[in-house]
Amino acid sequence: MGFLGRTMNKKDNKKPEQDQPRDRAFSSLDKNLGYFKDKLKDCDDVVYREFRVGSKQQYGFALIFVDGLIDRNMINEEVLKSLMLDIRRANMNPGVFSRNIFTLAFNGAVTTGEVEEEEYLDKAIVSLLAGDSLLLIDGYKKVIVIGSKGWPNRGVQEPQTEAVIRGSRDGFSETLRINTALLRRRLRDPELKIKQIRLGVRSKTDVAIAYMDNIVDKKVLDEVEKRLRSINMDGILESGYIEQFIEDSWYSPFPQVQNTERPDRVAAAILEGRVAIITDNTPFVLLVPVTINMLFQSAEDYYERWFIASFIRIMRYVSAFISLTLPAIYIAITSYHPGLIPTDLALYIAGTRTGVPFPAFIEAVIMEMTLELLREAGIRLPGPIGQTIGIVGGLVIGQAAVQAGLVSPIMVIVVAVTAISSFALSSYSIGISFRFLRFFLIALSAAFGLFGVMLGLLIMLVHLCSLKSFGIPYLAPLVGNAYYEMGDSFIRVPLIAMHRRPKTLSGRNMIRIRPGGKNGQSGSETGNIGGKDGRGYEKTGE
Amino acid sequence: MNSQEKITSNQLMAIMISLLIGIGILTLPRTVTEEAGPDGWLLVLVGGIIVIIISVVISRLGIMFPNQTVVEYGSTLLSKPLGILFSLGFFVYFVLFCAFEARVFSEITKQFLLDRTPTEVIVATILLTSAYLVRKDLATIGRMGEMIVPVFIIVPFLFLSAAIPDMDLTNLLPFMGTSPVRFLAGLGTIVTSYLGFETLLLFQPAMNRPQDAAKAMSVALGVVMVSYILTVIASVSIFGVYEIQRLIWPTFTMFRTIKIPGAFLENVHGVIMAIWVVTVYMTLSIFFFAAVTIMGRLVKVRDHAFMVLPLTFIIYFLAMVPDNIAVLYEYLDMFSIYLGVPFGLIFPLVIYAAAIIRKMGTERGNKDERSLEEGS
Repeated sequence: MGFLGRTMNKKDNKKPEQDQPRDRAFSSLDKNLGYFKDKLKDCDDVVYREFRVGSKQQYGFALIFVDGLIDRNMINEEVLKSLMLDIRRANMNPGVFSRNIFTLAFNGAVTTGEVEEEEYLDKAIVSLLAGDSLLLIDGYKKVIVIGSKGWPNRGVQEPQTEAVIRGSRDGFSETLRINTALLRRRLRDPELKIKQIRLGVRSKTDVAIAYMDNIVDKKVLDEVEKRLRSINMDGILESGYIEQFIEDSWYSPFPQVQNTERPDRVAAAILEGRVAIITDNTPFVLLVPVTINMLFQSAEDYYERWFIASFIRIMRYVSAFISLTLPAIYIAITSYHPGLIPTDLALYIAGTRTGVPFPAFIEAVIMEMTLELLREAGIRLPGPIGQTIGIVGGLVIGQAAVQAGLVSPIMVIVVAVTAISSFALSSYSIGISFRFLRFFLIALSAAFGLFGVMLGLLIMLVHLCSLKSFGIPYLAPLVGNAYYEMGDSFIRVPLIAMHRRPKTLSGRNMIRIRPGGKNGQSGSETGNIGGKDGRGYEKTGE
Repeated sequence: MNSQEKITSNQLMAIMISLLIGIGILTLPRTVTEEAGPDGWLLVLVGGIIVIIISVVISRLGIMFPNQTVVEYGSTLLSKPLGILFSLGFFVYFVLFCAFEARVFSEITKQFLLDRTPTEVIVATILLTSAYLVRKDLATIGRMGEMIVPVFIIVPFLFLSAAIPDMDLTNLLPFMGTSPVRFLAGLGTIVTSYLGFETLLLFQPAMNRPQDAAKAMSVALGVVMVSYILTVIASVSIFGVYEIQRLIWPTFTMFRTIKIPGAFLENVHGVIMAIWVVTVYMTLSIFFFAAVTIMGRLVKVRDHAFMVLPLTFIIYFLAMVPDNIAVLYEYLDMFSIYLGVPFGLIFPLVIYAAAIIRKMGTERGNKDERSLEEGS
């Protein structure tokens, strides 16, 4: 588990949640109400609705909810109206009525979808603050917890960070239930399990773990659950907190947990045997375990045909390499080894660099720093201004710098190509890792030339080779005995050829698709159910 | 290496290939031509076959003593003090080899890439980068090998194919013209180009399936042998028997003469230098790791990482001992004769003979009750 997870898991940090709930409900309505009003003193958004039920108004009821977190309509129609009006209209033996008003209310009168009873008031408060409503009845030591969640949310919108040309435009939202629903829509298999836990002592954020029970690697699943349960933090405000607690190496520049806003990516990952961690209040869902080639894949690769997809993927790898090494190689060649490039080019570069007062290294640092500053400024400024600044800054400042003689035009081109290549990467987290590593390589190349670049690349390669994500080597499938998975790394082989699931991720239920039967029947029609090993069943897509 | 991840056969192959192809390949065409004239490539072939046989012997030892490296079964077979002495000798052998690799590498880098940088700095940087890798476990090295080997086998030979028009195969005649005596004398030197295969003595217990070691080693050595033969044939055909003896590093010079017309990369030797840096880095790191493994097994420590940095300093000082390239190669020759041949050829055979004579070790189907199960 991560470094922070270890420091947080000391034995003396007892989580209050694990202690036994202490405050039992009272039977007197007034005492119960008193408890709530005391605990939630100065919380003016909590509403206390006291009312009486029964033909002679003899029973005291109270409804407590937090304004803004509940579905008002449901509370009004299903709870209040039902209890106050419809009970009166029902023809009932008064004796039956009075015998157990609690059971009557619980089983019959409250006509909502989710109802539970609760004995402990402190747990009831947790539910209250999560958006449930509490129904208190005078004379009974239990509280009815009514599921009534309904708060304003963004709804399902197009994901901002992962736009595609072809593919669904659904993106996750900030409400956990909407996200799990989006996932269920894509995987209608009872084996898709969604386990919910609460993380964060004060935030009590709902976190759901989603996986396919007969495909996932049980060891990975156990490790995920173990690491999640060891998180001991007061507030889990975003999945990024969880990511930093559960990752294997906190000091590595490479991300070991993947995050995405797209439900189709999550569904595909779950089908490969990975585990998804959905966090409330954020549209970014975590996917573990991750290998480096997953960070270069995009959902669109699978929706387009294999030829285009392979070409684009190769371009992505090339652009990653360029964005990482181009400035460093340029510096190395111009400062140390002009003999390594064709003579004409060497002479031309030398020509353009006459009169520039700085050595290539300083030039590169100046340009890169300027670019980073422009990038940050572009993010902070609102909408159209931000875009304009980016373009204007890039063009104008670059041009002005060249004319002032501060940098050579080739340097501007190098930096611009590098920047564009870094935008072509499909995963933001790997993009920022490369930005950082680029500076490392620039420094090494300024000191040792091409040798320094090679050393830097070697150090990175050594680091990547030793990195693991939940027990899976980071560089799989390039290493290890899983060569058929290479069909999905640098290129993308046609779907017909993708028979088996990645071995490194699960090892169970390996057959992914079944080609159709002899007479053009689809796989599900030929009745090929049961798999070669008899483990589980597979269906082709319909 | 006990509670750590195991390596697969492919990874062992990759480790061996990247280990053997190091600094030797640069001078190989010259040394074999000095020994055997135009039959140099034949020398490489025969040397390769000998080395394959010895490595099969070593793999038998590994099967007989599961989960033990030569440090352990050497002690049991040859009596403890002698075993420890041999292990220490092996350790010194590996450390010296590392120092040589580092120094030769720095000399070449200084000459072709970084002429103004002091040698000390180059040696220090390559050793420190190596130390970073050696602190990890063998599986990491295996993975690196798996990634690197395809590149540095394929790319240079791709470039070599551009030089085929310059090759004059008649330079390889007369075939079998060397006297057998000279040939046999040359075998001593050629085996030293294959030095490194004896690390199998240490790495076999780390394998997933140690019984596959023989096959993996044969394939790996076969690949190395073919690469060497092709390199020798290519260089001798391009330069001829006499000129090649005047070039210090004929392989490298050969790549410098390659010009791919019309391509962006006129000077192919830049790419080759880059690849070669990686190759030598792997060789250096794996020998370093072997040395650290021996020490770790002798001292019976769980994690070898703490030993790496002190050893880095020792290797650094050893690497700076020779004054210049000439002295360096003199020492290298002495090293290969007095240390390389005993530890590479004789030592494994001696141990195997001891195992056979004393009838120790578990064999498949062998109901010998004196089998030793003391893994660490």
